[in-house]
Amino acid sequence: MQYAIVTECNKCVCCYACTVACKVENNPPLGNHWTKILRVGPNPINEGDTFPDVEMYYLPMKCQHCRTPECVSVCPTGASQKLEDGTVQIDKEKCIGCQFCVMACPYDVRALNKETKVVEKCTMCEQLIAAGGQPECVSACTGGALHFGDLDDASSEVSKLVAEAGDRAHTLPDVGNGPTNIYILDKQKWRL
Amino acid sequence: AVLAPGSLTGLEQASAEELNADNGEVKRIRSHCRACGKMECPIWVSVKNGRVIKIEGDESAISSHGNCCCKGRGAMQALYHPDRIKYPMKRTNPKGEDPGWVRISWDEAIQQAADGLRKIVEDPKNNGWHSIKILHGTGRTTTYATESLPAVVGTSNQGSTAGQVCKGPRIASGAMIAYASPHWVASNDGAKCFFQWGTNQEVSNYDTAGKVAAEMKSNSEVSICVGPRLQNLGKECDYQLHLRPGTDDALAQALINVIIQNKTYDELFIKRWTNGPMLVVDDLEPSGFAWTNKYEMPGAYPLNIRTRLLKESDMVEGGSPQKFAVWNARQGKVTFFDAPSGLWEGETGPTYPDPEKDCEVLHPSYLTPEDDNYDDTAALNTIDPGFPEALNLDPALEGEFEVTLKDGRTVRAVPVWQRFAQRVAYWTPERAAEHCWLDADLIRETALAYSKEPGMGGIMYNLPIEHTGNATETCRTILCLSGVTNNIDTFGGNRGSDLLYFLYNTYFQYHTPFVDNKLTPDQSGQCAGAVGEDGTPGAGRFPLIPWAGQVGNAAIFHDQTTCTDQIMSGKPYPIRGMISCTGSHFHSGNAVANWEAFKTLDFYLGWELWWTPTIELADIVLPARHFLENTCVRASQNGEGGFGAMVKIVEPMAESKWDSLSLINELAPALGAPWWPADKSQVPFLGQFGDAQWPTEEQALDMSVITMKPMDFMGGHVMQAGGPTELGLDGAPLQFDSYQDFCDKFQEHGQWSLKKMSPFGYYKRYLWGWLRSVEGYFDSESEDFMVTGKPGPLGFPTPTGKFELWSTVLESYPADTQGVEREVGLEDDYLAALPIVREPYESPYQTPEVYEEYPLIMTTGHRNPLYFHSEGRQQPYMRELYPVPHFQIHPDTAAQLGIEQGDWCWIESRRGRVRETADLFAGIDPRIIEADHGWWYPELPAPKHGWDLSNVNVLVDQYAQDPVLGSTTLRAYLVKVYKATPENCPDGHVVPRDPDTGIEIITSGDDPRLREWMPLTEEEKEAL
Amino acid sequence: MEAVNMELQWPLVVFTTFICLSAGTFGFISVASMKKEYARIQLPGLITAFAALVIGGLASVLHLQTPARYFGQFGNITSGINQELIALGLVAITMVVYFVRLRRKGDVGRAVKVVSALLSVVLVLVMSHSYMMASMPAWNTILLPLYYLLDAASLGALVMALLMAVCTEDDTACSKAIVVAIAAVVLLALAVVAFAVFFCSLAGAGYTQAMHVDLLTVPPVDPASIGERMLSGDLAMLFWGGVVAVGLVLPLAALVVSRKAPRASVGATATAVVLVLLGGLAFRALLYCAGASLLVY
Ligand SMILES: Nc1nc2c(c(=O)[nH]1)N[C@H]1C(S)=C(S)[C@@H](COP(=O)(O)OP(=O)(O)OC[C@H]3O[C@@H](n4cnc5c(=O)[nH]c(N)nc54)[C@H](O)[C@@H]3O)O[C@H]1N2
Ligand SMILES: Nc1nc2c(c(=O)[nH]1)N[C@H]1C(S)=C(S)[C@@H](COP(=O)(O)OP(=O)(O)OC[C@H]3O[C@@H](n4cnc5c(=O)[nH]c(N)nc54)[C@H](O)[C@@H]3O)O[C@H]1N2
Ligand code: SF4
Ligand code: SF4
Ligand code: SF4
Ligand code: SF4
Ligand code: SF4
Ligand SMILES: [Mo]
Repeated sequence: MQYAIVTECNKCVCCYACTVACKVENNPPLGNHWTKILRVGPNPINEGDTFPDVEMYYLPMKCQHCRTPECVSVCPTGASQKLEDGTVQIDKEKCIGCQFCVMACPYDVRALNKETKVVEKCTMCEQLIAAGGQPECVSACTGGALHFGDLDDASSEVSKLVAEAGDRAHTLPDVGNGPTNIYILDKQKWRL
Repeated sequence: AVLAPGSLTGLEQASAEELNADNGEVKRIRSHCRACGKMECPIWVSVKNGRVIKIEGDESAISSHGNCCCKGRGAMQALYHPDRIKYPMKRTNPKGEDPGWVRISWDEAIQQAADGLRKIVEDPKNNGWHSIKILHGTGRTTTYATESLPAVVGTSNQGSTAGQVCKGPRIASGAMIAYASPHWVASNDGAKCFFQWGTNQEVSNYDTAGKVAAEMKSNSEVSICVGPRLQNLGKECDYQLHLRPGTDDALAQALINVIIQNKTYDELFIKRWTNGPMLVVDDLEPSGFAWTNKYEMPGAYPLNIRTRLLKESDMVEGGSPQKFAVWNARQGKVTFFDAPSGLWEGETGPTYPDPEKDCEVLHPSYLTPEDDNYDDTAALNTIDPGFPEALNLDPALEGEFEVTLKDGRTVRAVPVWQRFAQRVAYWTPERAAEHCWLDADLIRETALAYSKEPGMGGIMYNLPIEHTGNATETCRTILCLSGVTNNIDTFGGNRGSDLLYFLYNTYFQYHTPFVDNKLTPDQSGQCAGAVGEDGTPGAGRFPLIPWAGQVGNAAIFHDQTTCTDQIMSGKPYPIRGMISCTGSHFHSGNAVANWEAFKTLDFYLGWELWWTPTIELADIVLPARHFLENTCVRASQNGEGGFGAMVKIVEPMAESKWDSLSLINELAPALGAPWWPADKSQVPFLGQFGDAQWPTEEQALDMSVITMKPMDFMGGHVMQAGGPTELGLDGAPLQFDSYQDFCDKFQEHGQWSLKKMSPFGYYKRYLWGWLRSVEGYFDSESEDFMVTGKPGPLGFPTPTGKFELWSTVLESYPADTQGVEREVGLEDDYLAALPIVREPYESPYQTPEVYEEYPLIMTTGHRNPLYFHSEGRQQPYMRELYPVPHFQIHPDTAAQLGIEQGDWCWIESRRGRVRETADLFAGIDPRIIEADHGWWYPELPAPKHGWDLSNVNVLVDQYAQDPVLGSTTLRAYLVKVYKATPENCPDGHVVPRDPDTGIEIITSGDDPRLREWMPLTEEEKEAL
Repeated sequence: MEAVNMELQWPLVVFTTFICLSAGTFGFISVASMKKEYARIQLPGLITAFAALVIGGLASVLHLQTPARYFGQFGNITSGINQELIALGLVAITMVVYFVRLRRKGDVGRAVKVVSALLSVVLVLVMSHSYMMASMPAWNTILLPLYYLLDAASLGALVMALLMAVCTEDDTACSKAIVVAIAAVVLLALAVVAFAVFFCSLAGAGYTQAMHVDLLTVPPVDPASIGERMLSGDLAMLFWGGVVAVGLVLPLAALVVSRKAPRASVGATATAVVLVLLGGLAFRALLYCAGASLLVY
């Protein structure tokens, strides 16, 4: 089982609804965010092009709930764990705040909560999905860009989306950590 | 505590008690969001232990499909903000200093306010109530009593300054040539073509929910986006026209030109429903008639129509000036169209389409019944059956015809269409491409894609085109583009809103509650901008403003620039007082000029939620309620036809009150101004409210719903076509016996679809008479008075009764050009009746000498999803994400100027300079920048709160105005940009700070001052 | 505007520097003392190495947000930090064994010395390995262990030379020690040059790369810029001044001077130790500036 979020990048309109919804739901401290939007570009469509021949897309970023997460292997206490459902979670009781996981994550999505002195990141809204719901950012998404489900279940909506996308489906750069979230990009060139 | 007993809410008392009971249970309550003034999305509010803990979109909402943006989701941070204004306050220090606010009681505040205002009104040097200005900002459902106060007390300087730069021109230009506010597209229909022109609704939610805009785009066949830079959703569009700011007027003409050249226009619509076939005689002394758009409001402002269109009165002695001549090609002779009755020569009554043959039922195209927000509404579409055969009529669109006038002269007459085609012919794609900085082929392809077939979809033309100095012309030209391709009031087309026609009696949201427009034309003609230099009503620079206000829904306005000048000069009469309920000094006109003027006012009363810069100039401040503390009727502004309630979720904080109600039943009595007439027998729907003159909150709310009556559906005519006729719970007509009843039903049902109700459910209402109401609608002598729901004459509510490609209003009231020649491309004679292209006041071509020193074109105000104009800078979840203002600049331009990402820079115009930070963005033309608007810094001290450090309207030329309606040129002017350095910053600091105290602005998400702005629960407060 | 970098974790900078000092010293005295001329510096060397180990260890504990929680939950034995801890523990135990033997018998057997030297190397390798993260392209290079080994070697050789100058009268042996130190620092300099070349070769994409939509005031970290920044940009002072001048050139000069009369130039040698230590701190600070994740969140 591998819960994951599949993002249709072309539908993301950079509205921050997911970012703020996550804050309201999960209360990370001020200055910290568990999901953010990156702007990729604008880049020349073809080498040497200039405005207006440019393209861009938005990249909603969060923990990628990797298959072989570096953050888990470096964690000395076992606070960071890969769970049965495929999500990567942090046991706040065990975390010593050494922040090796912060360094080990290739995408920098973890941050120390200076108030509680433990490291935090996207939990895939475990409190909501456990109750059969959807992650808050997914329900909040204005553009209908975010989809949640089990990638190991070929009949899930997300698996179908990914299958349909074929080579338009991408992951963030993989350095052995095996990111599971999938990004589908139709029109523009994937540049990560 | 939540929900005091007896308060009006969407919940029954029992649930109120449940909520009070500290049982930790989560209650979900349906309401409408008003964290922005636009969509007002239906939402679910979760309450736990009496506290709002979560706000989500209501998936079942037909207008918004469950949209809930970041502002809505974070709204409780405003509700519970520690810095909200809590009590009535009075200043103790002179204006321009820290006001030294002291708390006073509500009674004292109202009394002192009434005294302060009365002193100005009674001063013989002043001009009565005209010497009091109303300042109202943009859309806030619960504050519109301020918009009706002028009718109660009689001031012409009414309305929302925002209206002049926002919607006013679109609504009024629509009313001039078609009907009010046709820029609204029923986007939830799902049109074939997604067409955004100067708008990014996916983040502005204007007035289409971002979610619906995104869906509409995804499901469209063709998508077009017009705007100078790569936009959030626009970047996905098939046709992206990144034009030079302020050249939309030329582009619109070029697109129409391509369509005419390729004959891809809809000929039947043009012949039957536009004034295209009407004959123009150059050699004719303009003549006409007095016209009031009387379908709108009593005491309507009369316009003096003077036109060169050929009328019966020009040809026949004693002929009617409202019968317009058309060349009937079938019979080779002139025939007349009678505008008031909407009938052609030979017709005795309206010919309606045949419901059996011509009508079809349509459902939103891309949703299925399985979708939560599928609107099972069957909207009634009509296929135009054409001219009745009996008329033997085929109006000529081209040709030259000899006609004999009543004075015996034989003159040449040509159809309007031919003139119109000649006018736009100047704008070849090539010429427009050069002018607009576009590609000619792109213009050509866009025009053909849009006109691939008639009725591809409406054009969502929004804000920016009102901000570049030619607002009225640009709006009407784009509307003409939609018109010639038959996208007016079609499925997914330029629909407009039905509020005025259907929900007449729930007018509550705009005129709280119903107020008769008692201003006479002589009175309303005295408003700033319309009054002549010698004080003559209606003889000023903008004589159409009083008329525009009347058709304008909430977009009622006076001229901000002239008003500010009047405050300073006292001429032609002094303006000495102000009442504000929302609104600010830095959103239209020049911010500095307004600030200086407002500082000198003798008395200023305002309602506010926050200590904003503008309110720091007030004498008395009253605390306003947050939307989660208020209730009112909510109908979606756009063409979607949603209807429901905003519900009071929690008890108001401290002594805050519903601003509109305190104005109606506290300020008005203190002024001795009756809000309701003592004798209500002559006012529709008021009879049952006794002889109270100042309604209570309960009466006002009841009034807003119990007056809704089932409609008279044309004698059952439409039902045969399968047109839906029922609405409400269980198919019962939408009827309520009290406001409480309405709220209860709303809790159960959620948003209703007005499309289930005729005439809202109709498309192409001009075919059915639903765009023009019967005479006597507002006339208490008429037998139709008290009756709603009867159709009027067919056609459009314009002087010619048609969609006016030739605007008789603009022909009669040619624009005030202040001697500044900006017209481009006039190859024929000057004819104000036809669309006009104007170069922006300041531009590389209009003012090349200025361009040398200010080499960048500035456009401003693209919406930041986190902030509503100046609002939200003190909400931690908003500010942490976007702490400082930005402007977008091309990396090449930035490199030339030595500017790097994130650098604080000066942006300077001939008027002033401000600091914002650079965002290097390769999706904007290197010759253009786009800057944030609305900035001030709540963390800096009173009275200025740093507004002059970064607010972009410091740079504006307030005299660069739309020559018809006076809208300020807020975009498309010239600036220069340079990096801020310690040497060129007045206090040696690059990052802005308060000049007196040296306090720095917040520049990062972990600034401890943001923590102080976090809402605290009682327990948290105690724990401190 | 400054680019966002990885937050500089001073405790970890101090930790790795002192571990290098400790391991280098321990390693060098173990090996050198196999020759009789160098036997006398064993005790002071051991004390120095142990003290450095304690300082390093304390620094690393300081870096934990809730250190108390750490002990008792060794949840993930294979994690780098635990391996480091194990290596560190083994080295500490070895030092104690060494010390006890030294006090009891006057000297230590060959076997212990070999183990000590090997463990010192292992400690440095384990430590550097835990920073070789795939997530940080600028750290994930064989140059990292190489640099740390040579830093340890330089510091060890320098301490050895210093102790020799202080504790012995054997000018030849002292000079030899200094020559070894010079060689080590020269190799260290080569490693720094290799790193500089590596940094300059990192790929990046200028303004076209992913950009925060929220924090537009902060330019995206462009890994490619690190080379330029350290050679001529905002980090030039740190590199040319701190790493090159303070950390390499000046100590080399000092060593060359002291080589002629090692015992008379104790001050110069001591200065060289401090300078290399400082240079190491500077280089680690530079590593943090270069250490950006694949994507910056
Ligand atoms: N440069 C530039 N300038 C622009 C624009 C642009 O794009 N570029 N846009 C223009 C447009 S379209 C508009 S509509 C205007 C908007 O101009 P405004 O309407 O003036 O702007 P806001 O900042 O939204 O609101 C003004 C005040 O209303 C207060 N307020 C909010 N809710 C309530 C309430 O319920 N009761 C009371 N009493 N007060 C309340 C807020 O606290 C705020 O201080 O700005 C215009 N100015
Ligand atoms: N979050 C948020 N939402 C809002 C508001 C807010 O302040 N914040 N304000 C509300 C109000 S009152 C309004 S009026 C609406 C306005 O909302 P919209 O109508 O969507 O208008 P803007 O966002 O101002 O601008 C839309 C686009 O027009 C482009 N543009 C700039 N200059 C020109 C030009 O000369 N021609 C053309 N064709 N395009 C140009 C800009 O680059 C921008 O991308 O938003 C409403 N919604
Ligand atoms: S994205 Fe980073 S934090 Fe999330 S599982 Fe992968 S390595 Fe761990
Ligand atoms: S900070 Fe916490 S979760 Fe991260 S590696 Fe250390 S102990 Fe594990
Ligand atoms: S899944 Fe939940 S925790 Fe993760 S980013 Fe989305 S809302 Fe935040
Ligand atoms: S809510 Fe959806 S559309 Fe909006 S920023 Fe997040 S991912 Fe993008
Ligand atoms: S668009 Fe406006 S009404 Fe809708 S959720 Fe956002 S703030 Fe509220
Ligand atoms: Mo607006």
